[in-house]
Amino acid sequence: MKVWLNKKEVELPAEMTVADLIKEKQFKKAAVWINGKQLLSAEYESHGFQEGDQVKILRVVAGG
Amino acid sequence: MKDAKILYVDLTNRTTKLETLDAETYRKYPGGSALGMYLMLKDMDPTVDPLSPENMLIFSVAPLTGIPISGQSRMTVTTKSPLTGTAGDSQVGGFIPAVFKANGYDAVVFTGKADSPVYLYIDSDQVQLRDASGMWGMITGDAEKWMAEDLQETKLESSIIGPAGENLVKFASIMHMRSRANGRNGVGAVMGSKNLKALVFKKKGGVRPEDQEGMKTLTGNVKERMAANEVIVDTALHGSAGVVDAHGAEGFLPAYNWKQGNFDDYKKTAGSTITREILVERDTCFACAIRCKGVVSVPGKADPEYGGPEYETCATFGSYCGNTDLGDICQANQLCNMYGLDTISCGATIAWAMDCFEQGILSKEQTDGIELKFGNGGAFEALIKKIALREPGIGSLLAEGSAAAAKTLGQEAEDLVVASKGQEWPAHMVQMKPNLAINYSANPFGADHQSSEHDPALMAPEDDQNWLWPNMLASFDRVESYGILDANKAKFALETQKFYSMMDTLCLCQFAWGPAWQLYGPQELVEFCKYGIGWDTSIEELQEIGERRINMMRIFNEKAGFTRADDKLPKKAFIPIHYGEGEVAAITEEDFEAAMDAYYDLAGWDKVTGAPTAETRARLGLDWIG
Ligand code: SF4
Repeated sequence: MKVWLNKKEVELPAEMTVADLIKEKQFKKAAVWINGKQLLSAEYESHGFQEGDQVKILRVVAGG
Repeated sequence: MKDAKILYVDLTNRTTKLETLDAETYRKYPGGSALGMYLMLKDMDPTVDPLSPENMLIFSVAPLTGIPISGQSRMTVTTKSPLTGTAGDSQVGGFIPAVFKANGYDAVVFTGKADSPVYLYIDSDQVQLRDASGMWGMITGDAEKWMAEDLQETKLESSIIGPAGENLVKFASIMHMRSRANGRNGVGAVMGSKNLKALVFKKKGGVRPEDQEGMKTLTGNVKERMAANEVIVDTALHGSAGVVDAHGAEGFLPAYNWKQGNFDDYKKTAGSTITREILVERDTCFACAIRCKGVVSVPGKADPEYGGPEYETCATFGSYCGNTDLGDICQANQLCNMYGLDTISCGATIAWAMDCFEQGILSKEQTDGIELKFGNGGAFEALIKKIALREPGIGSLLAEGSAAAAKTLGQEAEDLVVASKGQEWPAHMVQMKPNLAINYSANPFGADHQSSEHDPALMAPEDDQNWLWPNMLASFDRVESYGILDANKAKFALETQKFYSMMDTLCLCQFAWGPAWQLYGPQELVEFCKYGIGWDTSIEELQEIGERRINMMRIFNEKAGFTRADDKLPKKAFIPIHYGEGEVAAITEEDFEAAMDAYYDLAGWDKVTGAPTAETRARLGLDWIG
């Protein structure tokens, strides 16, 4: 399945969830928008992707 | 809240006296830096030379210190900073804060100057100023051993200066446990100027909370609380150095003296690499379950006795200097801990000197023959020793810090300095975290990464504590990208600055307590105050305590001659940073000035002078300051 991830077209496995994507990117914490709408973190485990989705994912880096 | 017990030590006359501060006043200035500022504004002229006997040097803890829970064992040193010329403070963790409190004191105030080296030993009511001539010149680890011998006692906790403090290096630290530092603001130089080598306490047991059962509601489930917090899990695994992994991957790791955020080989210096390759163990502070302190071993370069590098050290001696040799970073960290130097200012000053060398501003003759190119981590050992001993040549030049050193070299060198009010910048890029542009410039003692929350919290999902906790302090607008600097960020900078300022007052570790990603949040702090010491407080009162401290520092600075003109950013803050996959983050001068206007308005400070207005002083009960 093809989606636009941070403005780049990429191929994602059909069954991939948002949580899987965050894990793959090795982000400890992330903010995710799909088609302009930001997801709740409670949705990460269950939310998948649709063909052509505009996905934005940003790492939430803490201080320290 | 109880009265505060304050020990005054007049080093000139070698006398001590005990005073109490009534509980009602203490509640307004409850420990740490707020108490220090209250005492300085009451008794000291802000225009004094920071290295003169007239400067005060105040060690303080807080009403919550020593009560067994993660992140409460911190001690603040407050003084007029020789690095910045402003009010300055610095915090340290470890075990000395809890022991300080268990000995029955809230603050120890040093005034004057001893006519020969001394150290102060405290065993409850027994207070002795002792001869330190025999350990003057010693590195911190040796001085620790010398005192144990001198006192015939091994159950000690101490704060010690190394040769750098004795030699008045402007960014000298005060070291505890050879690996914990009151690092910033040159507090070690003030100690050296007083001929004071160490403050030592006899070890004592912890402090009992007012409500033991209530405390259990906060401490009983600490393992589950930690496991549920991904950032804390990472901190426990990799320490603060784990931030190298994140900033490096994202392209926001200040590299080559802040020329760029991309540092190709960042993985060689990352926290995960340290954990995998050289970590011996994780150490802790009194009663803290997080155990974030890395202890490393690199044969021939770093001994576990001197701890291990934090994130800032990995960055300043790593990416700032274009150095990817982890052994050299660990060696630099160890030498700074031995000689008593702040690793941020030291690494950043060396990075600035490398930049000057590369640009032909510093010649090989001026560097005592050292090929001071980016990437030359092998130069650290010689340079650090030269700085600490203030050897004539490159050592004494860099011992002044990058901003003062640049002034002697001219405008080109000054343009390469990355400091605010003379304080070298910690490793968080303002292009990524623009609220830090406000903080780095407006913070009373210059750039500090631990004086406000960082911007990414405003991007966190609505059901995440990173979003929920800051919004307990004030309501903020959501942010959807890096690089945004506006009135919302000004509000975020100010409101979270109040919270961090309060934590520097109540002496709390900002990894364990905080308004976003930490182990415990604002509401838990209110509960800790109640169960710990029977103090019925609120988030509003805590915010006001933090605000009062910031305003005291601003008033001190106003009297010392500082204005808004000093709340500036260095040129390199405006370099666009390429990060991620072809993205660019940048802040502009126009956005910065507009955000600063919004920040001053919200703070109740005059936009021209930068000083708190009469209304603000009255609102915070500070009109007693003349
Ligand atoms: S989080 Fe780390 S620095 Fe903070 S109190 Fe715990 S061990 Fe010490």
